[in-house]
Formats: sequence, structure tokens, C-alpha cells
Amino acid sequence: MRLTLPTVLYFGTWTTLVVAPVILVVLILMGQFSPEAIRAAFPDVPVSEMQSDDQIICAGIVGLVPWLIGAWVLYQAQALFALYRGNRALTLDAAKIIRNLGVGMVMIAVAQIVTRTVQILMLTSANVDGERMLAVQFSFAQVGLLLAAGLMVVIGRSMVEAARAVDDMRGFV
Amino acid sequence: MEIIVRLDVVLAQRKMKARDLAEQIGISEQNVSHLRTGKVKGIRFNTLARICEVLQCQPGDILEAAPLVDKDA
Repeated sequence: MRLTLPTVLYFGTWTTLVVAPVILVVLILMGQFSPEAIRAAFPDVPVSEMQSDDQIICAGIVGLVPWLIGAWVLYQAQALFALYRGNRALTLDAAKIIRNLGVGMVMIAVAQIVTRTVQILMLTSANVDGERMLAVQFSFAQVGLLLAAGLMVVIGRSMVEAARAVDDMRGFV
Repeated sequence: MEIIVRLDVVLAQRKMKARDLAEQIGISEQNVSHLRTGKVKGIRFNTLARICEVLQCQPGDILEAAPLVDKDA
């Protein structure tokens, strides 16, 4: 087996896909999803002592949504690298996967913004009136991710059209 | 209607081999074979023009529109 870039990336993505759930389990065992750890992850959010542990843990679990979408994006990436390994980079399948990658990255950026808002809302839901929080925050990194993802969707769509045109032309002499 | 390729007939009339036609019009022998057996989606105008030029014929001599035959009937 030749050690080409697509091969390295293919096995790299698969390794990440396999290792990520293991790391998640280790983090859970280490107590990173305990109510105390989740409170510590939101130092600026006033969480009431009345708030139940279950609700706090639920808020922590909601934070995994972008990571789940990330796992799907990684799965798409390995499929793309598999096509690259098989010299099928300019096929309709590859174009559709590139488009999916872009859509997935948009979903990650949006989920990062939304989940943070939902988490804060859940953590402060037991607070007294006037101390509950509804905060929407996004950073330059998320804006950059959205721009890159949008660009990838456009490239993916263009490639889908190009691949369809090539397929049409293939039957002409 | 379906389009039937009559290239075989015209080649036989001209006593020309498919290989010679392929060479003269500048496409692969395999593509000429696909064209003869009708296994193509279409033919480019410039390919058709070169075939007509080499075989000294009209497009209508090579292509014919015929009623679609229902193979299940």
C-alpha cells in the first residue's frame, strides 16, 4: 500500500472516528460531565442551587450536539478520501460528498451558537425571576467556519453540476 | 420514435472498414464500434460532419428516425 496523502487522510479520519467515542467515555468516567464540572464550564452563568443535577447534566449533554454533527462530517470526509484513493475524485459521488461536507460544517457552526444558548437557558431555568439568562454568542471562529462552509457548499454544488455534465457528455462520440 | 444508425450500411456501400473510418475522422475504433451498434447517447455535429465528409454522404444516409418498437409486445 502506497502512503499517499489521500491514504493518510483516509486512515486519519477513521482513526479519529474510532478514537473520539473512546475519549468521550474517558471524559465521562473522569467526571467531565458531572454537575460540578458543567457549572465550572460556565463561569459567567449564575446557576441556582435549586437547579437539579439532572437538568445540569442534560445541559452538558446538549453541548455534544455539534460534536455529533462533527462525527457525521468526519464520516463524509473519510468517504471522500476513499474516493480520492480510488482515483474517483472527479465523480458525481465525490461532488455530492463535498457538498455534504459544506452543509455539515454550516450545521456545526449553527449548532455551536444554538446549543450554547440552549445550555445557558437550561442552566438558569431554575433561577428566580430576573436572574434567568438568554444569551446568544458567536465568535470570529464561528463566522469564519460559516464562510468556509458556505464556500464549500457552493464548490460542492458547482462540482455536482459539472459531474452531471461530464456524465451526459460521456455517451457522446 | 427512435434513431437508428445506418453507418454499417454506408460503410459496406463504400467498401470501407470501420478501422479506416476511425483513423480518417480521428476518433477511436471503439467509439466507431459503439456508434455502429447504437450504444451511444448522441453524436457531436463535428463528428457527424467528418463522417459525412469521409463517406461522401448526407447525415440522413447515416441516421434514420423509425417508430419505436415495443420489445415486450
